[in-house]
Amino acid sequence: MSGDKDSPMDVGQSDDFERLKGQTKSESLFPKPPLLNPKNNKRQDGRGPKDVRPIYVQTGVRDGAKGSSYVEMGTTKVLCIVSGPKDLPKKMDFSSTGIISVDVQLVGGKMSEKDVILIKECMEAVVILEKFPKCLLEIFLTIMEDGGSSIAASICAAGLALVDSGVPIYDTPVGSTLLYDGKEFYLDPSKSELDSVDLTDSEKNDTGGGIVTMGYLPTREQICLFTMEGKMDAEVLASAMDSLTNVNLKVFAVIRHHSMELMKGFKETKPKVNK
Amino acid sequence: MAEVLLSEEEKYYLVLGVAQDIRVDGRSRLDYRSGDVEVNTVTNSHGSVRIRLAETDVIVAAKVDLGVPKTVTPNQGTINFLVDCSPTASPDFEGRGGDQLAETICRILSSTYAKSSSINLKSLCIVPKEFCYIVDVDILVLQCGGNLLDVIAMGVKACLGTCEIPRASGTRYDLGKPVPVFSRDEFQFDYLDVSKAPVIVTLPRVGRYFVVDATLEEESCSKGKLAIGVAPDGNITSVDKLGKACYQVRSIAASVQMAAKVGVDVNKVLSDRIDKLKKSKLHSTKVWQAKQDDEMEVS
Repeated sequence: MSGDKDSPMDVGQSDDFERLKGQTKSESLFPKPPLLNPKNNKRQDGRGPKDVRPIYVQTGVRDGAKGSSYVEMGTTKVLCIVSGPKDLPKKMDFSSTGIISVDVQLVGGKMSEKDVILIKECMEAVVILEKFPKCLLEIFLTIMEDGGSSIAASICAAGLALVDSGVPIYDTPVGSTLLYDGKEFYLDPSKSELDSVDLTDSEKNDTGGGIVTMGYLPTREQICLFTMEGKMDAEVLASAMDSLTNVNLKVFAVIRHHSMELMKGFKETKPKVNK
Repeated sequence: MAEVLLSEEEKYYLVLGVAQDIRVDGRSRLDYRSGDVEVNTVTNSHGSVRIRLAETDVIVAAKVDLGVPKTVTPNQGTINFLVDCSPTASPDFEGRGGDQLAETICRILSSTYAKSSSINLKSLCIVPKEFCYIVDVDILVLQCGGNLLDVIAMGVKACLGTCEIPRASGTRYDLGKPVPVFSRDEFQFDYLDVSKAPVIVTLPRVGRYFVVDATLEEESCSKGKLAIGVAPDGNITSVDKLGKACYQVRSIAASVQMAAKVGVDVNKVLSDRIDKLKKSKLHSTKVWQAKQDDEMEVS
């Protein structure tokens, strides 16, 4: 049952009941700075509301792996390794299409089961599963630092690792996040910005506010992952989706550039092992 | 979700029917099935509801406990959710089979009720920083006939709306520390204000169209669905794309608009029902009291 008889000390600590006890969500008790500095209309890290943090991508970071990638979106760092397709283990039933298993390790926390399922279903939509029946494709994600937009960075990393591994996919997925505070959109929010918007306060929140994450397939113009929490009007949500589509196209430009380099000089791009 | 096996011909018939706005049971794409809500099904909880929508049957029970507010939100109470997909609902739910589904539903409910100003959590606070109510909502799925998430969300709203929160009539000081005082009269309680609580409208995609309140057969014909939380004022409280399908931006935008309209109607019907249930509860307790007085006079 959910009502664990905790001592008063424990009740105040963990946010979600499904998280393991002992892991606390480190929240600052100091007053949170406003999202937009009124003096120069910039965010706390100097960006404008529509500016995205710098992105770094690299593939072939693990020599032994079939496909691997490393993506940095601002301070969020995600490493992805793809293993397979390999034979289904005996305990799993026959499947006429491939099966994907996604494992996400978040350093210093645990990603909620629902977010892992969202990423898994996104990957199932992206990979051409019909091409390998009775096979298992494993995607291992390690979020080394969650500086905000971790689901989006995970999608980018997984997509790139699939490109690196040569597994047939419909399109390269990219992801991005948007924060809405009732007045304006803030693209690619950092963790401190996400923490500073208090969505639990119902009196402050009548104008709305929310966090939207979108996974996008740029060439097909389709959405492969979508989740929104908070409270927003339907029209505001529609324009948030348009903003996110634009950001995703910008992110895709970076990933596409890297993929082209990868295709051109496949052997040269993989880091060589020093002998 | 519990799956049914359909032949290709049956699927074809279903999908073509949906395209012509006539579903297998005769409904249009935007019609809900009929159902009902009962209260007081679990007598040892503070609030309980059994909600049925055709074959989908769910019991939602809420227990109110005294606890300490979280340090970061010192003047708010908390609402915790636990979903249990019972094996009686579907053989797929045996052992750990239902866990993934339960986790997803739980997470959607938790983030909706914590983060979208659906319930004023401040009303659950008794003494800031010291005492608050912790409402533990347990959801038991008895039978799964499709559209589970919607039914659970409606049940949660009804349960929280008819949940009897004991009234703290004040605080007294015990060795300098405040202690809440509860009224001795067990018929003195408050109801939570659920006028802003959302319902969830799940829209599976069958063929090229979205349908509302899908049956198990319709769900097995769809590759993916959108679960959209709609507040009574038409605002959207959550959107989750579940399943393996991909959508165009305008598809999602259009379905969100549709869900907003449908959600407002569903909220209205549910709110009216909750009000009727609250009135009938009050009436039955008054009758019980009057009867007791009569008996005492006779003896």
